[in-house]
Amino acid sequence: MTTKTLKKNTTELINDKKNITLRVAQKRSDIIRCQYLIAERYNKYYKIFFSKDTADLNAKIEPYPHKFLMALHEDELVGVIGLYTHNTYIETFGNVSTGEIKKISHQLTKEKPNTTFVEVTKLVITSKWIGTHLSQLLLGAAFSKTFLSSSVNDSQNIIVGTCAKISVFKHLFTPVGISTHLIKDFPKYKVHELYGTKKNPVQSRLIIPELDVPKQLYDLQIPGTHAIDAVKPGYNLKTNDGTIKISRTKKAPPSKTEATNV
Amino acid sequence: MSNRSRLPVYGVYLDKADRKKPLSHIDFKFNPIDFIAHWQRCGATANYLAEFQAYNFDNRKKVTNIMSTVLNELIENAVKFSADAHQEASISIYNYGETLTLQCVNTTQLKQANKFEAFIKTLMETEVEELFLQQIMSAAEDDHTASGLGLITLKKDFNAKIGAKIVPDTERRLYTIYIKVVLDVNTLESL
Repeated sequence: MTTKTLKKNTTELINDKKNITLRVAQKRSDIIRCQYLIAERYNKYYKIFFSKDTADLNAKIEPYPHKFLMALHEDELVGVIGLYTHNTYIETFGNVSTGEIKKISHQLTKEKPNTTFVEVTKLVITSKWIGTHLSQLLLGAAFSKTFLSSSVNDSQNIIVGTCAKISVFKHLFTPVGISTHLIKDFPKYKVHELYGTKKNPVQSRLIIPELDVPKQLYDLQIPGTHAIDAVKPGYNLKTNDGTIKISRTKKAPPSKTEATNV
Repeated sequence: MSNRSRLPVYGVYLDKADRKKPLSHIDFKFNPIDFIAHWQRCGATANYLAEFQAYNFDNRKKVTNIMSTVLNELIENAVKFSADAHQEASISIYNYGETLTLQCVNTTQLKQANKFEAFIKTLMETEVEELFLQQIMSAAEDDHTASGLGLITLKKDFNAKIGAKIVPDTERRLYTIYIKVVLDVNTLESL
């Protein structure tokens, strides 16, 4: 696919390309915008509610992430992905122990595990961005060194967990080039009744960023402005750091849903 | 529902309208998204509104508890079943001295309006204890959120008179649901 020239420092749409600015939510107003977008999308699709204080997965009340990565188009918030920096979802509700995380990471890295564990979660985009590569961009950006280490000092020893149904790993992680390692199936909760199925169960997985995330994504510039294509064969995603080629799985369209439990 | 010439109106909405001016009145308008984003606001709002009204009663603590339960039920239902998280919903409380009237208004889609109408019909036509048991059983089997147990409980435990009307908005293909709960003040004080 030919990549059109992108005018610097502009949000002008050139052909079918759109500029997306990524930044970590810092201001109170940005955090609230992120929380409300996540809550709205999750409620629309999965009838889920949110609470800062009390999570109850059988009452369909979820906890918010601790950090948010914003995707903005012309100052409009068009997508969000979150990060649990402590008390992660898969540890709290997924019966994943620190021992299991350390064991798997040791098997993969052969290094003595001395790490910070965080979890990438709650990827949402607004309706009109369905069919673009915004989900892929946000997912990839969530695995950038800058975002993962936004609440810790040492970016070298971060291990990432995540929780999603198998089809999300297949159709979102794999095409972006992010490898994942199964920890275990996620226990059954009412909160996932409209999400996972028997054939497409929810799983907890582990990612070692330095091994499993493409360098362009790991080093992605945040804050920064990146161009995404609308739906077209070949899936190119151009970032400031160069074009990332997103491979196309047999039945893998760009994301059709606006919220995934990633 | 769309083929009907008259509006579906049930229960206390069929009674002669109370023309008296309320002694005390509070309206609370809200967008469901605020409650979706922070679910505990349902309880916090119910507690505030209950406490506000309870000053008119002798047994403030008891009335606050009962009112809070009723209001929480109405707010949660309005949030859960609203068609659009950004479409305004409301809850109003009117104190007429001998009775308290609570009215909740929210907008929903056809499927939910039909479900609600079927439930309200059953609530009007079935003996409340029997309906309570039926719903307990079906809720346990289906693990269903919209069991209507809350409204049944209001009728069963607090002797609440309940009414509903469903007003179609043909242009937007939505339905405005009005739920009215009338509580007898002497009954509340004696519970």
